[in-house]
Amino acid sequence: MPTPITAFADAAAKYGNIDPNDIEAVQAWFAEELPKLPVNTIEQVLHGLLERDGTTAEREIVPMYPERVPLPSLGSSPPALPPLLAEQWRTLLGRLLRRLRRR
Amino acid sequence: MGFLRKQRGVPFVRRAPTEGGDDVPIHVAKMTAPHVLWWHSHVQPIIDRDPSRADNGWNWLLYVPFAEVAGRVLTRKPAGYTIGISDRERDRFIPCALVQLLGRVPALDDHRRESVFVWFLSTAPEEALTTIEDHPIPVDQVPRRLGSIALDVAVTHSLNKRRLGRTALYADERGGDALLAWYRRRGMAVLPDDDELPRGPRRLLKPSDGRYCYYTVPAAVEASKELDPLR
Repeated sequence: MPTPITAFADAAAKYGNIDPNDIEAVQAWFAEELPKLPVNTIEQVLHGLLERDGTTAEREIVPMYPERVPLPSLGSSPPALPPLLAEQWRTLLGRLLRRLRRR
Repeated sequence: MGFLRKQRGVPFVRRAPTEGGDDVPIHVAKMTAPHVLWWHSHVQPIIDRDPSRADNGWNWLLYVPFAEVAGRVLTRKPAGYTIGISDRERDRFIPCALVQLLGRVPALDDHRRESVFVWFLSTAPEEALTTIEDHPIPVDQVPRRLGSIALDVAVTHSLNKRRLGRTALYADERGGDALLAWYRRRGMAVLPDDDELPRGPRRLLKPSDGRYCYYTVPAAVEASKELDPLR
């Protein structure tokens, strides 16, 4: 989604009264305040961002990169599990066949 | 074989090739806030130095909460995945690629069917992985084919969630013809620019312009099979 960051900043300014030049405040608004808004407002935000998809940013927002962030721990990286059959279909099929043979 | 794949699902990729010749074990995790924060701290600044990249200037700290909220509100079943390397001895996880997708959107080639839509996909440049403070990955052990693997994670999600592999995305204009050609080489079809998108905000606000790509069911199954040696 090549929507310029300024579109996100303008949405935070319009719907959250956030300083659109303060990217950290914009990020915090999207993470913490947007989920609390009514559904139709969230849809308006989405539509506003889609409208500006592919447009060029009309101003520059200096990116802010947090410093010295540690690597994530394994505990904060839960595995994405596929369906049981995807991983263990051979084992489960073997068990089923053995059970059928015993009958 | 395609039938079984669609019925029983598919495991995620577990290995990636390296320049050194050996495969390196990789781990597909649910995307969490620490992954995104570390990415924006360490990987994104390196991506932002390369204006030729389609993900130059991206801000995952905005995209992930937005995609989660908008996806839930529109009942699009959002999901985020991080592909990375686990270091069990030091209890660390090194994110190498991020994928944010919507799990339930109308398919581009058959509007009555449901598909996965890849909203954001980004892979770490080699420099980002070889310069991690206290944890650099040797150049010959940097995982390769991360783009293909990240795309495969979306196709795997689609297969495992009864979307039969149908997966779509929009190839960012900044990627130009090269990006479109890359998706074609992965087996994706390109929606003609005069074709109508399924009903929804995109049909009106971001209509087809010849940059929407999608996997048909047979093409997704073929693409999935291609990565089987890495599962």
